[in-house]
Amino acid sequence: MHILRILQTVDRRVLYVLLMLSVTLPFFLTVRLPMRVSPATQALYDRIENLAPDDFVLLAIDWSAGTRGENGPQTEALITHLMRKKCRFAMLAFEPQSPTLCQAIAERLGKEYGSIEGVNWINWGYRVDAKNFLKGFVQDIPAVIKTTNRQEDVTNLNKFPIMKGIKTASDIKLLINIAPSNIYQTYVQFVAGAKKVPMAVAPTSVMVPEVFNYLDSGQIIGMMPGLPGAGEYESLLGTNTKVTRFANSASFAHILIILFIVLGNVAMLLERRQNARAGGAA
Amino acid sequence: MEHATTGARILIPLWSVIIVAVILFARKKDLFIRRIQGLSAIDEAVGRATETGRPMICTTGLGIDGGVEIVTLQALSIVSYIIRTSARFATRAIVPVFDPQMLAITEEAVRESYAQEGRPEQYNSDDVRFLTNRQFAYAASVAGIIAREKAAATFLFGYYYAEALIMAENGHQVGAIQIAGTPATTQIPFFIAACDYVIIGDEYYAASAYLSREPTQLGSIVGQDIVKGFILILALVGSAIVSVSAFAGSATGTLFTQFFTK
Amino acid sequence: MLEPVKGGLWYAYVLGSLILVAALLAVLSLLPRRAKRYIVMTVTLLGGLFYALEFFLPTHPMMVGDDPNADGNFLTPFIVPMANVLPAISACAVGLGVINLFQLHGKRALKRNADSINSIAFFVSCIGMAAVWIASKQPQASPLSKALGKILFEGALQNLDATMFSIIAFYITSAAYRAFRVRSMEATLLLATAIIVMLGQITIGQLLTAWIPPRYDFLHVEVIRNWILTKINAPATRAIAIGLGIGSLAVGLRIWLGLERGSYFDE
Repeated sequence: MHILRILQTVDRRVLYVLLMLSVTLPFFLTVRLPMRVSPATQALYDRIENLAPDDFVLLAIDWSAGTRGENGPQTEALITHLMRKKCRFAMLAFEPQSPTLCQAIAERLGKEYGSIEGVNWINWGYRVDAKNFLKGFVQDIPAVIKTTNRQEDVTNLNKFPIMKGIKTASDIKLLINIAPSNIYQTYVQFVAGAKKVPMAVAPTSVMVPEVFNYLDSGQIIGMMPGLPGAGEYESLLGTNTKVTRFANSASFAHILIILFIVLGNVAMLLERRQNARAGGAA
Repeated sequence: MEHATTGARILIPLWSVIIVAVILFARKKDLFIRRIQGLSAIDEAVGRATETGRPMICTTGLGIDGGVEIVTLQALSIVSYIIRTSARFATRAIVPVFDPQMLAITEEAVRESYAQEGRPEQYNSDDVRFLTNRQFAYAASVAGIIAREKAAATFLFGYYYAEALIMAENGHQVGAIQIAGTPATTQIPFFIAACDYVIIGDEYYAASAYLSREPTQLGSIVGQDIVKGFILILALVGSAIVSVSAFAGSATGTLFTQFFTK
Repeated sequence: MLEPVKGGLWYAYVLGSLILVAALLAVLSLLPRRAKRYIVMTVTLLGGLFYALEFFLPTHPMMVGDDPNADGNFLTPFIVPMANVLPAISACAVGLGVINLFQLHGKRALKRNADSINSIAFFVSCIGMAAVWIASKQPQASPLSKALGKILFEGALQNLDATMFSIIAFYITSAAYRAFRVRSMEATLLLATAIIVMLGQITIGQLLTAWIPPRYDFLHVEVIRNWILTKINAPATRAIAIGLGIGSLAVGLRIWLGLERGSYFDE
């Protein structure tokens, strides 16, 4: 087959193998490519940086294992920052896997930063029917949050002193939704909009274009856009984990896609030109 | 806002009255809406499935928050039309359901669609099946059904997230003719890349009206267009007022904004 | 309002609720179709009316929960009880899905054809996962059940889920390669925009224009990407969102006021 035709019809399995290589090989590179922090990530970082110790933050964590690759590093970066700032935070989920996944992250980082469950942070666990639940939540948190992820009674303030003074959504100084879905819109509508709670979003990369709407209108104050956002945030925090290597993988995978798109198009245009010449000659 | 602002208190009831009035008007007089290209292809896709003797897969999406939602009901309305069309040719349609709350409604809608075409015996309860309400497990299940049944046509309507491409690419790989329609703007590019026809944005809500020609739905679409025209004028006038008053140092712009925010 | 009950009374409440629901369902199943339709329409209207009135009626300062500075009207105190009741009703619907799955796969497993193995795999996975997970979460869980729970949840489920998500990367590559062809002016514009946005979000792409001096910042690929996303993409997405919002209002009104015609609303 003519080379120009081959370049336009590369078998998808060849693409898959090349993609796998471009994603996995950078794991073995120690090169740290420089990263420019986007204004949206910077705004979120600055907002947390300006919180006072003991300010109460709600982490609305709605991701499952499927999107752990993106939402996991985002959650880690945010919890790290909150623990460093000694802010109190609660985790709430409308996704059944989230409480287990974020509990593990918070416990691990808690040991590192001396942050104690029940005192500095709490896992409110899984709830259903986001819209109806949140309508009640903004008005009276103790009336709808009665237990933790482990079904422990949160009204026991000796065991959960973190709950002291938490009555309504107005007591939340910052709300951050980490999710691969647009449940952030429900939070914008029923919590951030209802009680004027400052809100930020950490979506997966695919959701980013949609979230810009809310950022632009001022309904959210910042955003951590997917895995690149987590990398940017880590560079602000000064932590150096595997996210940098993940970011390298993303870079190489993007370049591969761009390369094949360009090759396919160049081959198509050259073939067209050849055919036109052949037609003209005939 | 926890409760309606002045703007919402006036405008939303006004828009509701307009929409309901046009619906009632449409029941007395025929209204026109333009052709939607992707929908004309539904008959072609059903025809392909009939010729090949292979089934069609019709999904109604994941919904925005799950549960019984307007977006999903709209998708079901389109799927009902597809099933009515396929029932005439005895073509099998498989409807995988994502949300357990939608199951009973979907079963009822599919059964009724067959009944409306005078083919109630064609309804097979096994073909309307709840798979799972886990996003990627659902995508894997639908991809599996597409591959096992070698679907001749796939209809992907409703709200989708990242799983959209998994289903659409699997359909593409088995050579199915694919028609998708979604209000999820982030998934439209993926559907465009993998499907034959895509219904985007507002067309999604107009789809069932176009297909059914049912006066309530036609009236609803025309009513929405009137309201959208109203919003457009309001946006233009608002931009002008806010810009001019900011330039002139007047408080009119602030008052105008407060009408919507307080 | 609606405080939780404990001890023996809890069992009485659960049993009483079950009997009440069973009796209600029995009565409803005996009613003619037309009557059922009117009941559905009435309940829908009342349900919608509650939230609509609570939202639109004028408010005044009042005590809501422990918040003395709240605003509300006479319906506002009922929002919190509804927030406790409605999610419970939604959760019950999961049972419907499980019943459907057991019916469907039960029939298929009994048929004993080539597909039966899939249905048997469903029962093994579903019952196995539920049993192990419940056992591993008990206060006196054995090390074996804890280990099994960890293997099934962290070892199997999490990775299977993550694998399905990562497959999208492969599909995006093949779909992009196939679809992005410069066959027209619009397609060329689309391709150029896509490449700028892709380059703008990766470090290698940002390096390509990193040499440009800061005074020409607007020529940096990540700045152009940001401009495309906020100044071109966002208004277009917002316009679609406004249209969809009005669409939702219209469909909501049709259902709420019983104007809808169609298989599950009509006779």
